[in-house]
Amino acid sequence: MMIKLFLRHVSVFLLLLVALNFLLFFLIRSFYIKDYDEVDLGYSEYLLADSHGTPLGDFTEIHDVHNFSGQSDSYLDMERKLKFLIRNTTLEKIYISVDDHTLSPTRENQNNLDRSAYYADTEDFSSFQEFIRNKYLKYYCVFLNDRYSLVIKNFIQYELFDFSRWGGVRSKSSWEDLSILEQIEISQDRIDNYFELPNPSQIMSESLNRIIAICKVKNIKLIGLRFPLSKTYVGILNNESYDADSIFMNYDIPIVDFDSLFLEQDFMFKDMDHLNKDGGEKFVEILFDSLENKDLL
Amino acid sequence: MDKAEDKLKRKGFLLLSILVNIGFLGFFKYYNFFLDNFILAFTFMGMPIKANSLNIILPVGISFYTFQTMSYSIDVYRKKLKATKDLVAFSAFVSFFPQLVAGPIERASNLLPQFYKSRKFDYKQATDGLRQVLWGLFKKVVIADNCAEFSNTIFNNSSDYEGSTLVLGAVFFTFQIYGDFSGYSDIAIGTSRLFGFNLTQNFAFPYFSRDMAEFWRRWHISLSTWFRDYLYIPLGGSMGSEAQQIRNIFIIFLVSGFWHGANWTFIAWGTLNAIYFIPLLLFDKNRQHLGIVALDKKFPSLRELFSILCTFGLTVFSWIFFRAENMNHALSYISGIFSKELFEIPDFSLFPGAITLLILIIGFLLVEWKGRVGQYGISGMKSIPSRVQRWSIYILIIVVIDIFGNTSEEIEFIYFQF
Repeated sequence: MMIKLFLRHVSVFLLLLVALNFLLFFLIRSFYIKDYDEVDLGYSEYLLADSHGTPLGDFTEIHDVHNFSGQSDSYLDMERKLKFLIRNTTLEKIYISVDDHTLSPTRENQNNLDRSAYYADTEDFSSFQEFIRNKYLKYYCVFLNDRYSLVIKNFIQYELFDFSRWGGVRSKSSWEDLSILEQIEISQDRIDNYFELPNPSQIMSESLNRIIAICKVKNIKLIGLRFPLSKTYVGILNNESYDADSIFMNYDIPIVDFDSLFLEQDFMFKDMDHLNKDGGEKFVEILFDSLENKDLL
Repeated sequence: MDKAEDKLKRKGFLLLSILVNIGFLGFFKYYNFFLDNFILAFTFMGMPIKANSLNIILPVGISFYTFQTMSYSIDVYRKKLKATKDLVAFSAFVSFFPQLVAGPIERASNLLPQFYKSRKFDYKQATDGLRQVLWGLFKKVVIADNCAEFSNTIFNNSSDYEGSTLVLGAVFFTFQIYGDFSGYSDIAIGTSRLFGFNLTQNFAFPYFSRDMAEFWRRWHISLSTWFRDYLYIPLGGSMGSEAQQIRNIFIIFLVSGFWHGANWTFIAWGTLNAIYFIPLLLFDKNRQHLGIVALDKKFPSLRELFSILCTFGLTVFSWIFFRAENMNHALSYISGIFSKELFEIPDFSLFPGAITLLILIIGFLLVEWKGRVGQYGISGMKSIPSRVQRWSIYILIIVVIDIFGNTSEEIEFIYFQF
């Protein structure tokens, strides 16, 4: 009798938690997942990149290329997206980011594997249980997804309660408004974050190799892109690079390198290596002109 | 031993039991320590010796179940307990899974009889157990594991920091060890209650203690009372001359320190606590705070607050020895504290998230303060009549654990190593 009552109460409590979970999921969806799970399948050419690709926004669509970039996308995420596109579109061409940091071991932790699970299929996982765990349980269950917790935690810490007065949050001034010293400090932070280890990530390298192999098998044209960098960042970056572009060179895959395009134009940047909206629009213009000149369109 | 009438024979059995128990503990835990120190001592005297240290893994929780088994033998010897003939019950007593690896160190007189009785499911006991598990999880995952990140950073790179930042590191460790160990105890006790077993309270809000004597009545109670009953009182306790009393206090704290690990830092930690305790004993002040601080009051008086803060400060200082890798590390850490940066505000930009953690700690302390009359922080919630209110608070705690709980790396329970 008592145990039945206990089990009934525990069950009701768990149901309440499930309800709360979905409430939190819709909350997170509105600001974290947002449009990550939205893609236009009416194209045959797509841009796959991390946050360097997002400022290009919809400007690429003028050139019939759909921008499928996502903040912090790793090659593993891009690989899932590529396979999804192959399953659902008549894919012909992929533009993909091959920047200095894209093979960084940091990307093994800073990626979108929780969100890109939306695009994954059973073949992307080692077992059916893994597929169910990642595609459904972790994706929809807030309490099982560490990244969702982190997103809410960061929202509370850095958005709801602004601790910048305590020196804990980076200035949100635009890049050109920062002093050289501030630019150097922020750039160094980024370099420390991405270039902590001497060797590239094996997981990311393998994923990039798989992307190349898939494109070759499916007869999809692949073009590597190197996005513009600010002058201060380039100045202290030195020769730090995990050489994702060298993998492309090994396979004779074309790369368009624009990392010094806006060296003297800080107003094009949101931060050390991310363009702002104007920079993105201008870059798209220059990029597709260049591709046309190189006969890569 | 139980059947033997001859006192000498009984003593022989007890000695054998203690020797076997201490023998295992000594072999696994202290062999290398003594060997290394002998080698060091002989080398220092110009007679270097060579000996191979043991490359063995310390069995998890050995210090806990060794003491638990010894208490059984001693209680049977003292005729406080009848020896059990039920091997299953005895084995279950020694290896009861919730408290096997990190306590509470149960007395046979409390736990063993519970295995004899048939148990009936008790709704109130089970829900109270679940509540205690929830609070233990909060302490471990939110408080201890988040504090661990900062205290590890500061202690592991202590030469890079000075003054108030080192104090901050020690304060974070103070909450880490409390959240970690008392959190484990809450989970163990709560889990046991789900199965119908009642374990002894292991922590009674020690950071609200008004002096070090009170602190030691509230910290790791099952170990403190073990040493009190099986070592301190047989040595004479607080009876005898002042010199004997001081000796007894030193012995109990040194053994307590050594129980934690084979390292001079634990011995220093024990010695320091003995030094804290002795003045209270000599001035007969060691039993002046037996009750709950500010009972029936919302807030402590200024005097009480001052006493609590002073005791907390002494505790923070002693934990530096407990956390340090070796004596050199502890001493350099302490000398780093006493620099000109001691009175500056730590640079929180070096520790993103530290402010949030401090806010969480303050919230945690407020809950513990409100719940200090109970067995654990939120035990008083059972008296809230509205289920909606109670469940809302549980859900809030679960959400806080989910959002702020540290799952970025697996951080083991500190006391697993003992």
